[in-house]
Amino acid sequence: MVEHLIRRTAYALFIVWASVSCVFFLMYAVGDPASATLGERASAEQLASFRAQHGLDRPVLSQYLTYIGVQPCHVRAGYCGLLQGHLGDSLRLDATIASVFVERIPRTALLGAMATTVEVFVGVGLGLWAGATRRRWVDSSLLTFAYLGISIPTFVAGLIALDQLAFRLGLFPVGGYGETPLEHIKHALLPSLVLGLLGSATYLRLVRSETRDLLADEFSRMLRSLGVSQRRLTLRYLPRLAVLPVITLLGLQLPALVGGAVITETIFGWPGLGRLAVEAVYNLDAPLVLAIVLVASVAVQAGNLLADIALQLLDPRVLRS
Amino acid sequence: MCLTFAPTKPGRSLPWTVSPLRLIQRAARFERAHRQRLLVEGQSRPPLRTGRCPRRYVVIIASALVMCQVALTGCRRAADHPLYRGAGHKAPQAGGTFRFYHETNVRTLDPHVAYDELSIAALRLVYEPLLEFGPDGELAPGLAEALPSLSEDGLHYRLKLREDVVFQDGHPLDAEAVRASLYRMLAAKTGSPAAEFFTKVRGLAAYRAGRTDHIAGIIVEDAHTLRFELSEVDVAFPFALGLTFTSPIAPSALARAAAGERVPPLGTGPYRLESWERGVRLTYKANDNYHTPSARPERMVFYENVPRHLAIMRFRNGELDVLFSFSPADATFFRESAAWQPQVHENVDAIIGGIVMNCELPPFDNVHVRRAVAFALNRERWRAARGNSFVVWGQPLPPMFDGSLPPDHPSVQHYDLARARAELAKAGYPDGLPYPIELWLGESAGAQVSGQFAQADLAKIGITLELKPVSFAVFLEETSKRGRVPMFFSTWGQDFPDASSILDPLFHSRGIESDASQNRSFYINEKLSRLLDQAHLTRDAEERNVLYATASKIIAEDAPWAFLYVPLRMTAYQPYVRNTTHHQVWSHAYESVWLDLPRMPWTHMQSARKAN
Repeated sequence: MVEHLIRRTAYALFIVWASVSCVFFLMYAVGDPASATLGERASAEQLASFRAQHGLDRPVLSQYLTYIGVQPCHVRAGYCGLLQGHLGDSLRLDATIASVFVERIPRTALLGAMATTVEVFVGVGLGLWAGATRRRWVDSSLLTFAYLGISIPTFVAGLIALDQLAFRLGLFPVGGYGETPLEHIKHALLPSLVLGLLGSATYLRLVRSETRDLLADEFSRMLRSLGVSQRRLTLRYLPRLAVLPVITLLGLQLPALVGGAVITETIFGWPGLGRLAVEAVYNLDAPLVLAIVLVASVAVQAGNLLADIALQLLDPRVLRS
Repeated sequence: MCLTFAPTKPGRSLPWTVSPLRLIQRAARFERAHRQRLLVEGQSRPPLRTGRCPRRYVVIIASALVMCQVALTGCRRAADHPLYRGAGHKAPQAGGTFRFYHETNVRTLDPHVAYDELSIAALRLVYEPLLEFGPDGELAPGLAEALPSLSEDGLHYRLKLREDVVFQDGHPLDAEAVRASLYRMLAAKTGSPAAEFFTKVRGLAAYRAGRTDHIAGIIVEDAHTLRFELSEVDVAFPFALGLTFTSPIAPSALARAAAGERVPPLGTGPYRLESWERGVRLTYKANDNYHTPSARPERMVFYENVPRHLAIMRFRNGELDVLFSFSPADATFFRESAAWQPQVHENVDAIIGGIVMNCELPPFDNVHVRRAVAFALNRERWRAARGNSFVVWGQPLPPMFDGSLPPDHPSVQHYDLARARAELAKAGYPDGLPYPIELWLGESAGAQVSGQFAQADLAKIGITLELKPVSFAVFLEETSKRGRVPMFFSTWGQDFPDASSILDPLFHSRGIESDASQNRSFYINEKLSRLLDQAHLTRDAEERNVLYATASKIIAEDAPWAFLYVPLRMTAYQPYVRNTTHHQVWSHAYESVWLDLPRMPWTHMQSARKAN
């Protein structure tokens, strides 16, 4: 187990490094961050001064080595790269990236956690029901819901929900973030419901098919022969086995969650990491984009690693295999 | 636990009872027996029911009901009038919270660095520049007692500061504090975009190069008097003193900036920053020590990151006090709603928009081709399609500027297809251009639509356009370089309300550089450049206007741009927001508003009107 974890961690670090490096060179190939930051009114002198101030006038490879932290910093003594724990300064926002993240990440995490909770509970619950039921109409209805969830894009459902449920019916706040922690949760309800209900479709289909397979399995037959009722089987014994693929999927869904946040946060005006990413890319704020990529890839790798561990804890057969 | 059902018919006199628990137990027994039987028969799971099942119709009916519900909800209309009105006070009232917004993030509150509309809107509540612009763009004394006096030779400006001004940390404003602030603003390491407006201040170049630690042209005469000495006459210099860059920062904040910290927002403005939750909101509280007390809101809240579709919903819900971003459909709604219409203001913005042609690249190195393009664009058709969101304008200076030509002046560019064809023939292309031209577009949806209009119009005279949408960053970088982009859409807004603010950067040959050109049409006309230089030296207003009118005429005829429009700025306020004014220079000028509180439900007013 420990050896497996070490191998997986090393692999995860490699993936993170590769992602950040690729994006670094892509960002600098796309355009000039100085022009994008200072705008069309910037004079040649201002552009030159800005480039010198941020080290953008140096060769790209040199910038990269400084960014990684294996070459001395250009603005202060010593090293100031990723290896030293420095994310750098945003080119556009008058703030360090770390301070921006301290504010933004908890917001996206709150939205993500609420959406994932809805996703998993609704998806797994309905999936178990659809898999275990003998009523065709229930099964058909749930499958219809699942297909709708998969088919409707987040931005369509989000805009309809905003207009109908928030603006016209007044059931939820119209976007935004609120001022107190309780208000943050209140404002996150609608986006997390939209994200969660649409996302639950995938879990529903997965758990449904898993439940059906399990019901046809010898394991279930034996339990039934021992007198275990269908209800008890469905509610007590099947969930633990049926959610195994859900855990794997949950790990894989993290990138989708970060990606989804870009759209959801833009639609609902949620001031999180997704919206920041859109603006950073739009303004070619390279250090900020790189930091967001770093955080996203670390989150994805951590999610996968946690899913691995959870899978092994829940199902010892995985470790034996 | 039993449920009792009363007899439904009079004939059944005795009630009958059923225990749900027993029913479940009975069903469970039946189920177990059924399963045992199936197991014996070798089936692992009972087959799903097949055949005609009335329950399937339940699904259909339920779906239909859901769809009806959705449709009904969709039909539910939001109120087409404001939700609140004012209390009806005639005299200005103090108190309340004014709430405004923007669609993106505030970048910085450092007045020496901020150059974008959003940051300037955020910091103008905290800071004040040395001079101010009035609503119509006229210069007014800000922190000065009066407008600066000019010496006989036109090289010295003397500015007397008000003596009753204190910074928000309690430090009094004096000439030394202003000088220290200007020194920071003009230092090369600050990276302020302001330096280009002060290039004529004596000794600035040496200071910026680090050869000296003082600027010879900024002199403190006494505790409240400053003198600016210029190396050559510049009539537009006082306008530069009205830019937010000149806002003095409290000495304590400057000391922290010198120590490498970020500048804390301490100015002399009417509000002090209470909190800034980055990306969410800035909250301001009225500055009790403000030098000019007036009835104004106690608090201002500036929401960041409010997309247009949310802003409209929140404004109509009464959660925002001002709305300035409209889709064409929303603009129509607000214009046509009888209740909202009085709350809507539409004003021409001091921005010019058009298609820029690179005068160094063929075929636009030929003036006749450029003129052909300028005459071929059907601006009126385009305006109608864009929801009348702009005014057709075929010259470089917006209408509010001295020196702009009358709209019916023969030199003003306009739609004339026959003349466009004739110009193209003069250029040697009677059958149109033999090759396509790339038209570069920014990322906005508006740019795409505009591109398609230009494509359709120019196709009529035989010019084929290939639309090239690119990212904003690439667009900015490439269009500023020589020999790269043949044609692109662009807009340009004033820095201050003077013709030099538009004509100098866009059309003076000095604005051309190989790498970061502001004159992006790369248009060189030495006669025009001399005219613009002469206008800078001319102190007589009438004479100066004539010079700029001549310059406008030359530019419109030479057509480095096909000028298209000046945009209309549409703003809607809640009925309880009073003393709203359109400001020609600042897009978010809310310093003068007051709130007529408590706000009352709109229906009350309707009822009162009926009663009267």
